Amino acid sequence: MKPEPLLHDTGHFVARDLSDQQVSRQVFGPLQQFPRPVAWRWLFGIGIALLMMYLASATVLLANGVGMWGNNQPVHWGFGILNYIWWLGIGHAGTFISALLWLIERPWRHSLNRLAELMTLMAVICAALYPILHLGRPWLFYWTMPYPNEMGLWPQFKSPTAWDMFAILSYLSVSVLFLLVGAIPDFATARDRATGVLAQRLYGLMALGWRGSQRHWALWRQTTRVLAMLAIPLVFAVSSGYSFLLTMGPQSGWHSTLFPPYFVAGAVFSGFALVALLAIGVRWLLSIEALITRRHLDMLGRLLLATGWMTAYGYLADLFMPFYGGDAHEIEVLMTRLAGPHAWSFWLAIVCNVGVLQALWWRSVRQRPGTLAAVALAVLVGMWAERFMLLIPPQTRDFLVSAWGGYTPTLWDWTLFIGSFGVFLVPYSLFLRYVPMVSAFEVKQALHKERGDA
Amino acid sequence: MSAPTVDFAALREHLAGLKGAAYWRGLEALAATPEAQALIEAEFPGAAPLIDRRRFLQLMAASLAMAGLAACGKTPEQAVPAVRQAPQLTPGIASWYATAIPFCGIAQPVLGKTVAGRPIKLEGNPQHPMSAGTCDAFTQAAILQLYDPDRSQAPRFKGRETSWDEVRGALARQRLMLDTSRGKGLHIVCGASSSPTLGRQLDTLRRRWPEARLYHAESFAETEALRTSERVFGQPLQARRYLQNAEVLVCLEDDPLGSGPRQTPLQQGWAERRRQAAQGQGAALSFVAESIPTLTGAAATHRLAIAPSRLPDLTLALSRALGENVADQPRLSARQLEWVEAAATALKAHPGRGLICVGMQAATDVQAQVMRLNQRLGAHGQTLDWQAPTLLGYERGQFWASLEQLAQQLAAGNVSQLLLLDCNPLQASAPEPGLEGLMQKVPFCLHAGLYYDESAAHCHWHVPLNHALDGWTDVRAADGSACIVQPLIEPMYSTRTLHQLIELLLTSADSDALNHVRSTWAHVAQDQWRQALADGWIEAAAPAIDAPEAAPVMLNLPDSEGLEAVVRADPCVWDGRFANLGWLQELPKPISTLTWSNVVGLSPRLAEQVGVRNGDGVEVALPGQLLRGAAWIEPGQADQVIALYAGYGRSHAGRVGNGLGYAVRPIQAASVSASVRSNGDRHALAFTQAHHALPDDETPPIRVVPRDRPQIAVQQIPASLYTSATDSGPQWGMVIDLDLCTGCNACVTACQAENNIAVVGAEQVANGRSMHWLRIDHYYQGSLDAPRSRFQPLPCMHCEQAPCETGCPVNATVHSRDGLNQMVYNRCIGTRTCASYCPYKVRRFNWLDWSANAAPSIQAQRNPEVTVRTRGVMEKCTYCTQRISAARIDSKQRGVEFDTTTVVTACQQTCPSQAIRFGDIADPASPVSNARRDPRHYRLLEALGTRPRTSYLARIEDVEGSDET
Repeated sequence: MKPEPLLHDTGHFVARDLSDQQVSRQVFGPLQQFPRPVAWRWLFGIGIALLMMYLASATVLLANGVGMWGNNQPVHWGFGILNYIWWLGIGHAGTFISALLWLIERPWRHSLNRLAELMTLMAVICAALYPILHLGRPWLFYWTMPYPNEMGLWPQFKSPTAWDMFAILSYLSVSVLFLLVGAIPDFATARDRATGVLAQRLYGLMALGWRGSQRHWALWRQTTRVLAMLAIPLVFAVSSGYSFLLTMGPQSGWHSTLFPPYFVAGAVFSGFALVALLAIGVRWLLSIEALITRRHLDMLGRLLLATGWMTAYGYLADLFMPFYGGDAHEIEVLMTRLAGPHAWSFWLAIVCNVGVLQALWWRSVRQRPGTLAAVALAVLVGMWAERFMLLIPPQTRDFLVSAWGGYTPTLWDWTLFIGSFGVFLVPYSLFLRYVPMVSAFEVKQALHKERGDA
Repeated sequence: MSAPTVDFAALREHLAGLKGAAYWRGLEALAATPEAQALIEAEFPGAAPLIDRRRFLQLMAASLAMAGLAACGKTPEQAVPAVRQAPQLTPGIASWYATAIPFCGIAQPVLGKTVAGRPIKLEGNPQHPMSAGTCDAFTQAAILQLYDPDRSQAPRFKGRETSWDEVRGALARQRLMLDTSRGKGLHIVCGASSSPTLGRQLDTLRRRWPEARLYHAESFAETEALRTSERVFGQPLQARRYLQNAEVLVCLEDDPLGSGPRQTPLQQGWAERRRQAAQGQGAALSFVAESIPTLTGAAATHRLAIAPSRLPDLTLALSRALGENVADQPRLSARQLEWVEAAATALKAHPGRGLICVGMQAATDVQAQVMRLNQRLGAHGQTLDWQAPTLLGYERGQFWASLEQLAQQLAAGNVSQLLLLDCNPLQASAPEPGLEGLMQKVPFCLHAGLYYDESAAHCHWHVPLNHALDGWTDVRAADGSACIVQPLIEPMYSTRTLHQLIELLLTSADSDALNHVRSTWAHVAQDQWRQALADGWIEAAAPAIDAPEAAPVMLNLPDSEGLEAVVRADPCVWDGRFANLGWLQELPKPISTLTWSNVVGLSPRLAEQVGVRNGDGVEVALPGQLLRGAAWIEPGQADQVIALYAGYGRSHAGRVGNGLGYAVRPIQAASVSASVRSNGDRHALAFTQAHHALPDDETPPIRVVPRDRPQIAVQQIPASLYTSATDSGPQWGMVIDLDLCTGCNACVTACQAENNIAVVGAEQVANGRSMHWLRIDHYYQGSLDAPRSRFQPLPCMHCEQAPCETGCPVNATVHSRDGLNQMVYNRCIGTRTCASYCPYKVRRFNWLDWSANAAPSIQAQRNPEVTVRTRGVMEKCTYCTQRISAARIDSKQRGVEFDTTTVVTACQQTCPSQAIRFGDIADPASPVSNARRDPRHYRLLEALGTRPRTSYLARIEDVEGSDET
């Protein structure tokens, strides 16, 4: 057992003397021979089981209608919208890491961006399925898109629900493009290292004929820069966009100008939590502790702490505003969040997202994979509870007391939600086997730059 | 099982501490104790694991199984349409027939709308004074009963289907025996009826078989009042009450505004009185002493909760206060005496304008004394008059016998033929001395009824009767006028009318149903007969009979210690005869908003003693009956009283009504001694309105103004950047007068019938998914033990700045030029954004496919002008847009200007109080514009800036308790 890599005082957080060959071996080796096949099989098996559960739940749902869920009058939006917001929020961290940190040239992001981008892709897909499944008539989901039809009907552009469709579609396409374009040189390497004909063909297809010429590099750099600049505003636009789902309604507890920035902070926060969790998992599964170092984990911990505090500011402001505004119903809704039947969600969010998070002030907690994973997991749970707290309790306390109600998710709500991890996990575990999980060429570039070779 | 009980002390304290007009919906949310919080959790819709999904599936199955029916029937040839004389049917054009629905032997005059030979909707008959175009919830639901797939469809012998020839043969054999015995051994039990034709036929039968005996089986009949009147006046007399003249109404354990065969005219009178009082013409005071909360109590100015056993004392005190010379001392509390004093003062201050009503279950001497008091008050001819009994059951100076007497005869073995005609005496019969066992020995038992019910199951023979809408008969209305019941459709099944059945018994002839009725009215000329069919009534109300002086009555003052039980007809399924009608099962019971079950009502104090909360199982022991039901805490109920509701616990009601709630046998007395204890069970109850208190600094949704200054403090409408939605043409708006609303539910059922609103079952109601487009919100106000009740009908507000329209991504909900918030079902994809954004929560979502699998017969009932909604789309009140369109098209076709006053919504049309006004708010002369200028006018949640088109007139309160002071 070799000792854990030390904290490298380099811009890329990787050992200064790491050679190109070592990087290539670490990144592309697993494509030929996976270092931990048993663990992977477990992961994939669990993923498949969850995916089956998802498919079964979705079938039941599509066959019978959303009445299978716990939604009711007045809680018209339950797990469908809740999990949509949660998954979509998670997606944002990937774009943040890959695009924003690329633009401001933080070389350490090269070890993390691929796994984060893949996470974004899958999280967005998990999220995007929800608004469709949540529809009363899901087979007509495309009516929210502007397309020419003989009735001359268009979407209603004032509706935040219509914005959702645009948000998801553009976000998904930019994420996919950014991922594919960003991985072209690595796919080329994988193609060149592949032994089987099929692998050569497939990686070749993904590499789009990359030969590493100067012209290729120049075009690549240009494209990546444009895509990154497109992606950054999307991070803010999309997560503000789904906050409008709530804020555009007159409902007390939703109708707040605070929500867009609050949701952006929450989104990136939850995303960093999953990135941290995945980074810890991936570096162990692929044995690439040399590429994703403890310094990376430390940085992720810091980012978590920072975005966590931004989210906490949101909590504070959200607590303060109803009293400052003095509207009786706003206060009623707030008190319901704090002390109503679903108060657990508020306090769980506070405990996880504010309480547990403070452990990250300690360097040892940030740098030890086990403890960081525990905090990240707590944050994911906390952020889910936060979405619950924001979405559900205001609906149970409507303007008219006669319309007040409650909400209890059904078994099908839970199976679909838990199953959605299968939708995430199955493709993700396949990526682990067949996609270079670290941007090897960028790491190499950074190493050269650091050493002053280039 | 040790369930946490409600902390009542904390609740009382909490309510006492609230400032101003504290509105609350129920008990649990009032206390901040953890137990109460746990209770809220337990009672939340969605947390109802005890109700299984079977109920909904059963409803669906009930619908699926009955595929045998050809839905569209022929309109019978002799029926005469009232409004439009249509020689042939024009597809798409509705015909209206005047007819009547008998309920407890009293006609509910209606107009039936038929489209393509299918009756689809009933409205009150505007030509008949006992309807004036309005009707109650039961009458609205009668159309569903016509199409009920569980109605009996063929004769049966020992449970197996048989033919009418077999029935004829069996009856012929009995006839031979009866002819030799001159009818000895023939015992006939009848439900309440006022049919002159039936009376004539029974006369014929008795002339032929003089030894035959007749019995009366009606659970909540006025027989006792008739007997009393015979004692008081020397002849049985039936009261007609004119509440429009009653400036002071005193009700002793009576509920004239609640469900019942006379509800419609009584509510009309009550509303008329309040309308006049609001214009400064006289008072509208009501003093109600009652044991359990009723609609009349909810509408009362002075309500007193009192045990039925204290009623004689109360009557005594009232007599004394009114100047009667009585020797006994009433044993009453200071609070009760105060109420009596106030009532007597008011009665004396309005001579000839007062009326005392007493419940029909009250003791005979109390009823007699009330008759005397009314006479002394000069009520006769003003607020009350008398007519000869319209109900059958009194002949040659004798009343028909009761079921107890039948039991004696059965026990003595004197019965050889038993006929149960249009009644169900075995529905809640007691197990051991009950009729079931005794009937075993009878050689020939025949039951005739709409359903193969509990009584039918214990008879050898069962024959199915026609529904009022597919057979001929006649019946008298509450004022004594005679209505002809004409069919709107050919009989749907192999059924006969009661008249045909009696003819079959007497002569074995297959007679024509119409002929029986026509020969009763043989003295009426043919053209007059045709006119009578078109008008809906054939003989006007009889003039009043002068009642002789009533003698003073010695009141028997019973001692009462301990608990007593009262048994009332259920407000939604009555004695159980409507148990198989999904509309009525799902209709929230007034005040409690419970559906699909009956409960054991306990006062908060009693519940505290017994240690139960809502939904806990209790065991109630009555003399000869032991029943188990779900406890329900009813604030405002007398503490010594256990409230039981008949009509449930049925085993042969049909697939919708079987196995719900508990069975209780109606009792004759005002109350019986009883005991109650918790049995540790837990029942899931489905109610539509959850239990919460309004935060005490929010504007209450129901505004109340004092009588002397009926004005709403003007609220500033927030300025809006948007232009008003008003455009050219009529601008629809609705104003609901909360001063006239009694919470009777007629509008809810009318809306359901008109708009094809689905029934979803108890499980889905408990999940918070009931579909009513129009709901009636109920709030309590005031203390825990003596709260006031407030009702507020809530249809779609049709906001001019509708938040829902912003939310919809596909333009499925849009605003029309005439100010309607429209719902385009075809375009809806079910994002539910509109409902999330609706501040009034009036939108209803088709969570599952509620309507697709309905029985063909149920489908035949549907209004062809209203889309049946599929799974996954939103729906809501449309202001009956199909009626608006119909009126507009009609005016266009006739080339006249669109008269907006011809548009009447279903809820508006049926409301017995006429509390709803609808019309063009752009026309300053329209009634709805007038109402909007009323100083009592206000909009709900005005501060949100939604500019609702539906608005309200505040309730007027005579005593303190208004919140606009």
